[in-house]
Amino acid sequence: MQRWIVGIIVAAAAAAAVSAQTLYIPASANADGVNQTRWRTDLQVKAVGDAPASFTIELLKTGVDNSEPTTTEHTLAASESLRLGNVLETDFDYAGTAALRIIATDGGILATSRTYNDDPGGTYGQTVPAVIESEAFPFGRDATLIQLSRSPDPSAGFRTNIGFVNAVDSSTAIEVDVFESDGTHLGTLTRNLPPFGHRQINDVFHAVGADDVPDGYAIVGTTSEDGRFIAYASVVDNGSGDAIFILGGVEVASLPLDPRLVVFESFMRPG
Amino acid sequence: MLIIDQDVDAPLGGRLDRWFDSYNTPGTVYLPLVMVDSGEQIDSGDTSFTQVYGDMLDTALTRPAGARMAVEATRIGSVLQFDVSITNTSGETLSAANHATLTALVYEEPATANAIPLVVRTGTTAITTLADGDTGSTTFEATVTGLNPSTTRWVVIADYLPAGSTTAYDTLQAVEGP
Repeated sequence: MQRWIVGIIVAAAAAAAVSAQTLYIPASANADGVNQTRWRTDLQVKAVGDAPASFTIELLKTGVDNSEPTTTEHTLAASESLRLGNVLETDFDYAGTAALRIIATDGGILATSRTYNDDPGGTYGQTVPAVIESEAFPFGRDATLIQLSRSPDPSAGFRTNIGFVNAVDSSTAIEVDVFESDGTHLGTLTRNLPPFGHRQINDVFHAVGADDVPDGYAIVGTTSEDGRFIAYASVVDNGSGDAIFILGGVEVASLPLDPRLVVFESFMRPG
Repeated sequence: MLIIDQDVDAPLGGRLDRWFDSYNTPGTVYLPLVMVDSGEQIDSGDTSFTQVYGDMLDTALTRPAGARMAVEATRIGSVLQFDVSITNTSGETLSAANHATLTALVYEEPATANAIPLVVRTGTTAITTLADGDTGSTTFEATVTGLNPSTTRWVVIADYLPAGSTTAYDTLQAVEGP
């Protein structure tokens, strides 16, 4: 093959390669739920260090292709921490559920969120942490969700919802294997996530035909070679509606055997 | 993570070939040509460098290694001898059939802080048959005449042509030293 290599003036080419900081809030809501519950999400973002920061928030609506998401922009003074109450309403005028993608366009940021039932008698809910994009699970590495439960009594015990966020701009096929605590395989569910899509499977044990699972776990993977995803579980108390949020973790056995040295090679004309 | 440069007009160690193997398209290309994981990801020309290169590295850093590797380098006169022990965890047999290779890229520590080092010497050897899960060892060398031993650095890259890929190579693992 004949090669023609053309040099161009690239002042920035040798700059250290550092990506913009990208975080995901895997679940958020501005929606009415069962038993007259009203679910809201407050988002908190802080500029890190002594520098100001700017960031965008992208709304990744549940169940749809979010290749071109609605986006809002914010600026933080140095050391400022900003709370965006009911962020889906105030930033996006959106009613429903979604994930959020937060990109630091200048400076660095720290983020977290709380999704809660905005009950007049007092709120209750769950902290939903921000997940760094690089921690999204690639093909070949599974996310394990533990501390899951299901009670057949709708007024007692717990139920488990499992959700996913697609961290790439292409469809990602998700496979969920659900187990009892002793390792008994209860069933497999598959879902397809559109680009930057968000989905949730409610009452996941019921979805595989299980009725009473006091203690269980799930293993989530992708069958898409280019796929990357974030997985979480929300375990809800049937009696009170209170929930705990569980992020997918990595089992030691599925970690790379060695730390991986990545070599970035560039071919240029010196000078 | 290691960032290294090569002179595109005097490429060494077959690394530029890896880029073109991955590119696999006739016609003009624009500098800089960049790659991670031996061509598993490539890019070229003027682009949003920080974003594009950062995304390439972020992606590469999440990928599992395909081998465990230990390297001991010994300066013997004008050569740097590399003694390599490698355990194949790729799930495939490594051999000449998939062009499994060990390549040493030798460079000198830049005199200026934050400067990107330039590859000045290389050595290479083929990985003979190594089944998945097996461990093998080999020795090869690079000529390092004229290089200051106190500032000489190296990285040994194990790569191969994965099943299902017709042109793009992939890095199994890399080890740098000293």
